[in-house]
Amino acid sequence: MLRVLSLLLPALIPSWRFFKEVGPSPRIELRGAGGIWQDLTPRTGQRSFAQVLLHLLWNPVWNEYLYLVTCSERLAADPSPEAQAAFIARALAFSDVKSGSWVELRLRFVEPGSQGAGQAILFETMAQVP
Amino acid sequence: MSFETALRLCEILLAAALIQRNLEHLARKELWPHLALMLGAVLLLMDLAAPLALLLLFAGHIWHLHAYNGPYNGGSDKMLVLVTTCLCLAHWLPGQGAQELALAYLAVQLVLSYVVSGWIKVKNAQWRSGQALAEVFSHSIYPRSRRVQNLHKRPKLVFWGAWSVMLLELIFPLTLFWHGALFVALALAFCFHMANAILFGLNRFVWAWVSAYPALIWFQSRLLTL
Repeated sequence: MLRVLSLLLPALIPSWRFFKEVGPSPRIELRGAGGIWQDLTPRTGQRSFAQVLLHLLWNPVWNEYLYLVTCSERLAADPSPEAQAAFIARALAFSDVKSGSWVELRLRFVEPGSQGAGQAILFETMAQVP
Repeated sequence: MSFETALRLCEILLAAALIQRNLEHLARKELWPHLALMLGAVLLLMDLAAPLALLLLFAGHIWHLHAYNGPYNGGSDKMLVLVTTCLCLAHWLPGQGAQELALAYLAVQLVLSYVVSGWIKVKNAQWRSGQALAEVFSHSIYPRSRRVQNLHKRPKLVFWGAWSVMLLELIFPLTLFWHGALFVALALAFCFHMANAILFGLNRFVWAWVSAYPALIWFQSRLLTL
């Protein structure tokens, strides 16, 4: 009951404090053995007008990426085994790495305006893609 | 707008928003609780046993929050839970007064979603200078394309963009006192959500927020007749 309330109350009495400030931003990266780190952000160079319209109604990949970011922020706030497991499972499922491969996965947070210099690696692990 | 019309319009828009959201999950083969939520949304859209459909949706939302250890899509999921709960109460509470109070609560939360968001931005010097919005473009995870990321190189556009958003959010409650002004504000707010969807990929926020608009239109007419 307490768990249900703790999940429901923030939705029923929301704080609505969107973009209060721009803090450290997560970067979720993955690489094969000894390879180059690759950012999992599914960002394109430019989208066509038709793609922009389509994404208003159908945007599952980007929304899953936003949830992966949410998992990374939960892991940063509370590095419990459950939060780690959720983050790893979601990140591996999101990647397009072949099933059964071993990969290194890391989560780092980049400070605004640091151009990548002011960064902290919060989490790093080896995992096998299911 | 009458209470019944506002309630029905909210139901239709909520059902559409939920169908959009749950189809995305079903495409990822995440069947539960999305099949249950889809059933509730289709029943609600077709006005078949709407009060029961809303109860099913409310239970489905709790299941959804539990499955993802909180909201899957941040504020948009919170808004959908809020709309569902208020519509549920508007059907199930005894007496017209209590039912109206439920829809009024949704309307007030909709206003707060803009004004609180505007207030916390305008208090921040980085938002007032445009730097915060520039950092959202250059640094945050949100820009949907590299072309959008490059908008931080246009400081005047970013500065006026930040102020347009803050002013719209802050003056939003004042538009409750003039019938036409609210429609203009809602049209501008819709454009703001569309811009967020196009620039930052926050498409679910558009449909979640729009589903509460009829409640606010009804609330204004109720307020102006007091």
